[in-house]
Amino acid sequence: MALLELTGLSKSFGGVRALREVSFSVDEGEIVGLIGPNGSGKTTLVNTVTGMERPDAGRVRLGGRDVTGLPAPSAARAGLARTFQSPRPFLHMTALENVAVGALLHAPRVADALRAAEEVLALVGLAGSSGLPASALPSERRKRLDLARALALRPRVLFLDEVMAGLNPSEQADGVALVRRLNALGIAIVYIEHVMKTVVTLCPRVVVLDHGERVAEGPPAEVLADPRVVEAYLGTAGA
Amino acid sequence: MTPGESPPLAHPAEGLAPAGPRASRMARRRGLWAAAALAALLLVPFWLSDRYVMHLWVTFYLFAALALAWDLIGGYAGQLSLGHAAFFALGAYTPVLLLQRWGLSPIAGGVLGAALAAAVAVGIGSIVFRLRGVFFAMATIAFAEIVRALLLHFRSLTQGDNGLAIPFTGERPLDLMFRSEAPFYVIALGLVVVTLAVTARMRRSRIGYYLRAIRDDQDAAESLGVVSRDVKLAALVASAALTALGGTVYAFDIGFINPDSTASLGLSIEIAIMAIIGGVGTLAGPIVGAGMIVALTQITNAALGSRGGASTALYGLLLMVTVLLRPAGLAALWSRPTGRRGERRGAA
Ligand SMILES: Nc1ncnc2c1ncn2[C@@H]1O[C@H](COP(=O)(O)OP(=O)(O)O)[C@@H](O)[C@H]1O
Ligand SMILES: [Mg+2]
Repeated sequence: MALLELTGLSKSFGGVRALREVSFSVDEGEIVGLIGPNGSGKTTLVNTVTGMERPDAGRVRLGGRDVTGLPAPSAARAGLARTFQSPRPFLHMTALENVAVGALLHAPRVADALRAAEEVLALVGLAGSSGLPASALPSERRKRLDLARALALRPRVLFLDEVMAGLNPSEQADGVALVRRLNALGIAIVYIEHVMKTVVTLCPRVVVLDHGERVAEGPPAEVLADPRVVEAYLGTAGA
Repeated sequence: MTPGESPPLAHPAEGLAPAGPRASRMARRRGLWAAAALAALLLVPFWLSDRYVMHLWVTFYLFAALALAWDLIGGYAGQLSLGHAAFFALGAYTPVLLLQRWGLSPIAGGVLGAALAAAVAVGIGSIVFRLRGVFFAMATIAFAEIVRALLLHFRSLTQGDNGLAIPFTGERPLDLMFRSEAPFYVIALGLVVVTLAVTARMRRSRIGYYLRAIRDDQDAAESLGVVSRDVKLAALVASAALTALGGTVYAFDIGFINPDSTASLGLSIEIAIMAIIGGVGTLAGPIVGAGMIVALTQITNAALGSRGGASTALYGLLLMVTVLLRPAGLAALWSRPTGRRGERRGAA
């Protein structure tokens, strides 16, 4: 049985149909790529699954449990975590405190949460920044901080929304290694990315969205050769 | 990350996470200082013979406690409440009525008033927390105006705008009636200490972390499992209960309450302004703000008389200057070292 199962997920904003009956699933321990041109509905999918938006129609099941339309805090509790396309750190808190907010989900005592946060910061390579206010971190480290916060929730499925954008090749290589390490910890990952090289490296299987519709699914090499996918990307002159 | 770097945008609530034995040693030293300061303040009534000056101290403490309590929701939760006078009024009227009708000691009455304010906070919070920003502020104003209107309306209970007087019937400590002002000095100081303790504890607790996260980015906080409505509600309940206790102290210190002195928009604004001018989200800020405003009101009233609204105009001016020049509040002028400590930890 799939760990995460989306069926017929739809979401509109006024006249814009951001998601049109999207279905796909993610298995335990899997990394699934989610690609598509800008505005194709990737972020909306994350928002709808993790509770920031409510779907208009469709079902989301996690480990067999119906989690459709759960509010964000409940989704987090159920095991769904996400990063934000542009990082949204708590600017007036230190890096450690940022992560502790996530860790408090499982560690009701602050001291325990801080200890757990320390470990997560080390995992993402931010140990040296733990006492700095998030506002002092450059954008690459803010991305890691976003990730660390999500990890502190000990999620079952983690949505990474364009974490590689704006990183230089060596930072991207570090990023790929980090995503692998997280996956090795048993976290299933939905990997949203425009940097195709990293998608091909990380994802045995990708799902392609175009205008809110799932237009292809399969191994990256096959999918990227699919005429509909080529058209989607060329049609919007994107990526 | 090096110790020499200048601190990034100092924010008062930064770096609360304790760090190792050095921090606990520092905390102990700070505790000793606080105890010494408290002892010194407790000695003040012994050499202060002027009742009026003593009353000024009581006023200062009272407003310091109110501003600290307001900061729980206004500062830590970032929800601009302009209706706190309503909780103050509940805390003032409840024990006075209970004393007059049933002879209940205002010590118990004050606790009941605080409980009532807390209960009302739960009800009102679940309505107003659906709103954000200016709509939230407007809803809190409306709420307080409703309380004021009710106090004016139910004359048989509250005497309307004539207010309620608490006749002095001799030295009766259990009824909070004292010949001297000194006991109120101690009570008001005690209220500051209690409010400080609640605030300090909350800052370091789970709720404190959640509140700061919500203030910075509510959606991001919710994505991390924070049920923002419940967290804000908890802050509002604590804030309302403490504010009500302030109302009780006020009522029995002054010996007279009416809707205008306890439930007015002016009072709500005054409390908020003190915390904002001093600096929200800090322990020192609301106290500093209260001290400044109380002192300022004295000076302007002495110079211009209390009627011309001169002090109100001056608050407005002071508020504008603070917000423009020092958004972190005036207390931040000398709380810089806190930011540095956080930084050293980062480098370690
Ligand atoms: N909150 C919103 N309100 C209105 N329109 C939105 C909102 N979020 C997304 N959209 C629209 O939905 C479509 C999909 O956007 P998005 O999910 O951000 O795409 P992607 O992440 O693939 O770039 C776009 O047309 C976008 O303008
Ligand atoms: Mg996007």
